[in-house]
Amino acid sequence: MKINLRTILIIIILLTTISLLFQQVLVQLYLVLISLGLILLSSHRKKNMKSLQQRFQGLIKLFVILFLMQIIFRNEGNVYMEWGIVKITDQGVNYGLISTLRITLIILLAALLFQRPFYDYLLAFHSWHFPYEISFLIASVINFIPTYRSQFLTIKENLYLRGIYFRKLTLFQRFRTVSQLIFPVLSRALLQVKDRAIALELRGFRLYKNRTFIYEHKLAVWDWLIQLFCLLLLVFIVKGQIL
Amino acid sequence: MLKLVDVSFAFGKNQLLHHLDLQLLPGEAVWLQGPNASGKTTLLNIIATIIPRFIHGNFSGQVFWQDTNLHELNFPQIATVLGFLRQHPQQQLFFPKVEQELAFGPENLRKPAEEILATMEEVCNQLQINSLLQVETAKLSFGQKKLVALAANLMLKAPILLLDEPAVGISTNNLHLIKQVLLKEKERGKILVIADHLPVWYDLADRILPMSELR
Repeated sequence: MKINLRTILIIIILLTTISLLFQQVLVQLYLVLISLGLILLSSHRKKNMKSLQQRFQGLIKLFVILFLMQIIFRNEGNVYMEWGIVKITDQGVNYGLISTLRITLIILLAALLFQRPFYDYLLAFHSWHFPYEISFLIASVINFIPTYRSQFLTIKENLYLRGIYFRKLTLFQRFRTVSQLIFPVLSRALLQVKDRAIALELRGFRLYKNRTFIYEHKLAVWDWLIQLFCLLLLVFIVKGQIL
Repeated sequence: MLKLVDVSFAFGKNQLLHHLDLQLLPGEAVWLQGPNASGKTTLLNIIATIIPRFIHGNFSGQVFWQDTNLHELNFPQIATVLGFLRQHPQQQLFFPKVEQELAFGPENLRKPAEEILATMEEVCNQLQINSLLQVETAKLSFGQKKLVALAANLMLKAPILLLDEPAVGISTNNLHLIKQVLLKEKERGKILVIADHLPVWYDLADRILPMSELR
């Protein structure tokens, strides 16, 4: 079953709204499970799951740090354990779990978005009557993140060839190296922006407000049903929170 | 007719073009010849009005297509007059798939979908890139990217085609193919302006302009 990008975007709006409104561990856990289910339902699942798994492996340290920080710095609630000024409370554990699950949710939703082709965004925004220029800009950002990632990997490979083994560096050394790499990558990207903008307009970009689209993504019945369900649920939840 | 009237350009003290007058008739191919940094790309940029719109220096002169002064057009309108294959093909490719890349120009020009698809088929047949239509542009080789970028420019069906170093990074077979395509475009009345330091355009060019004579 291939879910239309418009449906995915509506689901994402719903999931993030629920995640922001409800501060319960179970709710966050359900949201994470729903997102995982969505990724499993989407196409190329094997490849995506593998890259997702790698991303999570890289972020485990961050999750642990985030969880510990919440536990240490949140002192409200019933105390489970106490060592001097350090207290582990029920609220601390609760917030630690919520924050970690939220970050997990963000990563899963981002993965869900990035696995869709750039052109799908143009078609989705077009059918929502977004101006083409804005749609193109948003879609370009999504398109170029993998491009910058590959530039970054190329630099990493070049460093490797010069004897700097990224994997053998400590976390601090890695951070220092990455912060030094960010500027060359960004400056190269910025220099390319002007050339790309010229190349775009040389192909008639922005010549007219409207343009032809030779492709179209029609919504299937399940897309309509899911979208309707999500919108009703969103209205119901937001109304319930406000009133 | 493409007409350059009294065009001069200098980057600081480096005078690249000096009071150049040039007229090109439909179906004419001119080859700008010269070593690196001799001003070939600069002249193409002037014809495409990238100079003085985006690249600044001491510019004077005018560029006309028929009776229209190209400097008076909005920049995107230039796409109706000319296609420009620039040196670095990767900077001209924006879409994940070749098919989407080729459709982009004529879609912007509001050509009907059927016409776009027909042109795409024709251009792909000419350049023998049908098999690349569903391929990701990021995965193409340099030579393939160049062919796709050329195809994207041909899709515009503009009366002028500017080509900056089209033979660089191209295999002998593909170069032969490109020449055949350009010859056909020339016969259809397209004006070709080719800037290349490689000595491979003798059989296509009607005129050779050594850049050293334009200073």
